[in-house]
Amino acid sequence: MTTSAVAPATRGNDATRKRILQAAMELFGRDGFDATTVRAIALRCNLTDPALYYYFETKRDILTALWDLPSPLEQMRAAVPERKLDEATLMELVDWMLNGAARQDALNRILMRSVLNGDATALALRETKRAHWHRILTPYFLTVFFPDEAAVRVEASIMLSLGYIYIAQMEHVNDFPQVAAEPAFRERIRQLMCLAIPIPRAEGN
Amino acid sequence: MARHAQAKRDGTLETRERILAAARELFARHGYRGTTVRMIADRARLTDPAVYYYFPTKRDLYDVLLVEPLVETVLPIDSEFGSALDILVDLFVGYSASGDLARLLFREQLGGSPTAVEFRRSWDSRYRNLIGPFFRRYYGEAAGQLEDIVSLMLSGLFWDSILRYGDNFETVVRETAFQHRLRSMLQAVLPEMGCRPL
Repeated sequence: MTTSAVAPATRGNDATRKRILQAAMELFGRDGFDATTVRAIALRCNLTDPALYYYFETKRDILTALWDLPSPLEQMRAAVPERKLDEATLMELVDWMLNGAARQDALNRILMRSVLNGDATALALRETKRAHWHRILTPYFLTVFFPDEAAVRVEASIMLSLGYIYIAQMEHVNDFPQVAAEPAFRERIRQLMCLAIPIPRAEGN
Repeated sequence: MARHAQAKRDGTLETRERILAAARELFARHGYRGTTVRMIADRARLTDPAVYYYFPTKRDLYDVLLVEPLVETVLPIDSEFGSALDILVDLFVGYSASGDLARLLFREQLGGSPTAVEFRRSWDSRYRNLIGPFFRRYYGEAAGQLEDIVSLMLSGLFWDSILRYGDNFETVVRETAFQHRLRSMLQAVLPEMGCRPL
């Protein structure tokens, strides 16, 4: 292992990094996460094991990199919400969930199929992702609801969004990302979400 | 099917059920394509020809699995809000009784199987027929959207739980804690209407 001060997440060249991620996606899709070895990924993109380890120290790091493909909206931070939850913010949160699902559709499908096959890594990864949604939404909901109520409403909004997403994924299969980008598709879930999560009016309004 | 003597028929039915149970389990685990008739026969402790006697093709097995009857409860139109919530919870639990079938459906839909998609649509519309009259009576014009919300949210919870709980899905859904969680989610999205219809 190298002693370089540069974090593995940023070193090496972008083209090779991309090639590794591409190969990993193909193999994860074909064999599942647990059954895919780092060696197999290295072979697939004509690299030696050490060369691959230079980019990603563990298989888990490859998975993390796949999830974290950059997107401006992904930058929304969980820590302290800049504003109270209002309808506009709720809509942004819905968009954020939908964008994530659309952007990572291919990986999501691999993930879901692997989970159904009993792949432990896939299940852990999925739980991490779900926890992330909770972490992003909860602070906003806490600005207008008491903690118990906030927890239930976060859960309800996530399940409503998920149901909307799952059914569209099942109906449209590979066209899901395009469908999810359509204004009419967004409009319907926005309406339902507004109705499902009545936000108390701010005082003085 | 030809009419056999009663005793013979009971035996036949049992064999058929055994094949279906084995197929449901294996399809759920390995997918339609990943399951062979040989595997089903082995699991059901039968020979291949015995399976073919009941189901000439693997496809026949799959189709039969997908048309099995589901829940037949109704949401009485004059229920009170509290008991309506209980019935919605019971309906969900009823739909969850066949976790293997649900896993199979999920997997096949991810692959775009038209049969599986069609089957899920019929689940959805049957569910809506069960809850529709109650919702229309209580919520008038808002009923359609509230029905959408409830059925989408429960679909989300259903498929999410299938993934999260795996083989324990059916057990978890029957637990009080899960049903409590489900009930409070329903309560959160459904406006209470003073326990009286419009």
